Amino acid sequence: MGFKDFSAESPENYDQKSICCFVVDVSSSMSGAAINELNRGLQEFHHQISDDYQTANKLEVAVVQFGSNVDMLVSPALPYNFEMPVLRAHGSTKLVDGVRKAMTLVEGRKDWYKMTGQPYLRPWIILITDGEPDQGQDINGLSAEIEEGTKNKKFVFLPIGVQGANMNILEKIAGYNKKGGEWNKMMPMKLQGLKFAEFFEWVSASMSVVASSTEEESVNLPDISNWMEGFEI
Amino acid sequence: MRRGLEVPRYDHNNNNTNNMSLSDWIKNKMGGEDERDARKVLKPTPSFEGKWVVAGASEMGKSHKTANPPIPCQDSHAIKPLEAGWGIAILCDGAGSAPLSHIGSEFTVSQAVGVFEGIIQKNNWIKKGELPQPEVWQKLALNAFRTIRQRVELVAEAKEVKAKDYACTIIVVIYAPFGILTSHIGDGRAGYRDDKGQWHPIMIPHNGEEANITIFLTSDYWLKGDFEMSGVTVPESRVIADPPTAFTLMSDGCESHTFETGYFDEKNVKFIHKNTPSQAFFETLRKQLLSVNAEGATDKDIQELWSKFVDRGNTKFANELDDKTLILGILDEREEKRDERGEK
Repeated sequence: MGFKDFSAESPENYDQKSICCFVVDVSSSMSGAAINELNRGLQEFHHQISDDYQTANKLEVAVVQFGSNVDMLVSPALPYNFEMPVLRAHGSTKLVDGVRKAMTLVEGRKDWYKMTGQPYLRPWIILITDGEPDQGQDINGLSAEIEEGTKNKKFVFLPIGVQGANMNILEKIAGYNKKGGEWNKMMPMKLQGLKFAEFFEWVSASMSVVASSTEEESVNLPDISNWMEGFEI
Repeated sequence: MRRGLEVPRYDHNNNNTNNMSLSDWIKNKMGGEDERDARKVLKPTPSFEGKWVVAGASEMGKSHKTANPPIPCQDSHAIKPLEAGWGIAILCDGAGSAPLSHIGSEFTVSQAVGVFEGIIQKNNWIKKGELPQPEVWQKLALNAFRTIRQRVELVAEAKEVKAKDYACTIIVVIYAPFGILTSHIGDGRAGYRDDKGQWHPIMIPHNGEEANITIFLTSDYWLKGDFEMSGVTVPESRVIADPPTAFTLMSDGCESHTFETGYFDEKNVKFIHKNTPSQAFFETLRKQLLSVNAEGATDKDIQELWSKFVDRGNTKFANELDDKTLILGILDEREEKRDERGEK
């Protein structure tokens, strides 16, 4: 053929933002291999999104930990603007308080996007837990708040159970997803062994393919068989 | 890679309950001929002395390529040159949330070409050498989209799936020597270059509160013609009564690599929306397209070069996660005419 390839430089634009807020269980039952693998997964996730040309400018990450207390370890920031903390397991399981903190945080961030006129994508809240919430944690109240939040498209909620997690409780607080005009629960998923690295790799890939429309919301996520227990094709 | 020079005709034989082609099936079901079959032979407008060179490609985005299994390209497009410097360029972007949107976008494009060509011929615009009044065009485009949507519904009925499974956006550009008609439902961008070399936007994408929310041909909201999104009606239809020297249309996968879409004003802590075709980007490509055309490149050569560019022409295109369709048409005029305007 012998013709020179076309080439042109693209303009620089401000990228639309999205938030992924991890709510992680650091109760004492997570100590040992579980917390080590979780830390390794979080660090790898941070590297992956930092290295990804597009995601690095779009995805803001936040980390909320819950044990006996609830702490915001990373407030929403682009990958190159924060250090991923190393988690330490201690204390009990204030799961409901942790998730509520994340919900408040993403709502506040969305308000800021709106106030400043920025285009944004729906935030994700990802809960990672291995146990039962403390006595007195208001699971029923949280369940209603998550149903309201996901049905009103405030956020996507994804509960992930690590070995020992009470999946019945996670199912109770699962978010909703509209498909074919019907609301369906986005069922909690259970991690296979301690495959945090595979899970975070999947989260990294998923962050870019959240699809939605005015009438049918569905999320075409990458294959989860690498890390989810009991997954069958 | 999808070719765009020839109008794709969706073959319905795969997994079909009857053996007739989709085109025949529609004629049968709708009880009439496709509009393009009834067109008259028209004489070219004598004053048109240029030649349109139109390049188009629909390429898979990175997330579609790397998915396991890979997700097919949900974008489709068609380019149909007509007489006397007129032509049609159409693209559809299948909804990520719709399971059959790759088929829906291809089918919608193929039907839209016929329907809009039928409108041009029926109204004798080419022979008369005129563009319709904006209100006339708006009504015609609205009705055209209703017709196309009805065909999508008929296919869905025959295949026993929901029409929304075929959901896609659509952008239609009809180019003529003295102006442009546009109409669209959904997102993406389009623009044209005037005879002084300045690029202008010619549509406003229909976006929701969240950045990836849009509206589709199969949505119900727009049917009455009074629904608004992003401050414009759905469909948004425009008549540009200004001689174009180039035009472009694209799916949203290309927009931030080709348009100035906005910036963050740090001082006032405010995002400033923009909808401006990048002058540098389009002028660079326009010159390259003119150059390869002058060197004798065939349509096939140009489409191959263009597909490669849309697939991986620079790092932004190469790293784009979404599917990408980019169409660029340039008017290759006689040298003397460009000299008159002082262009090289």
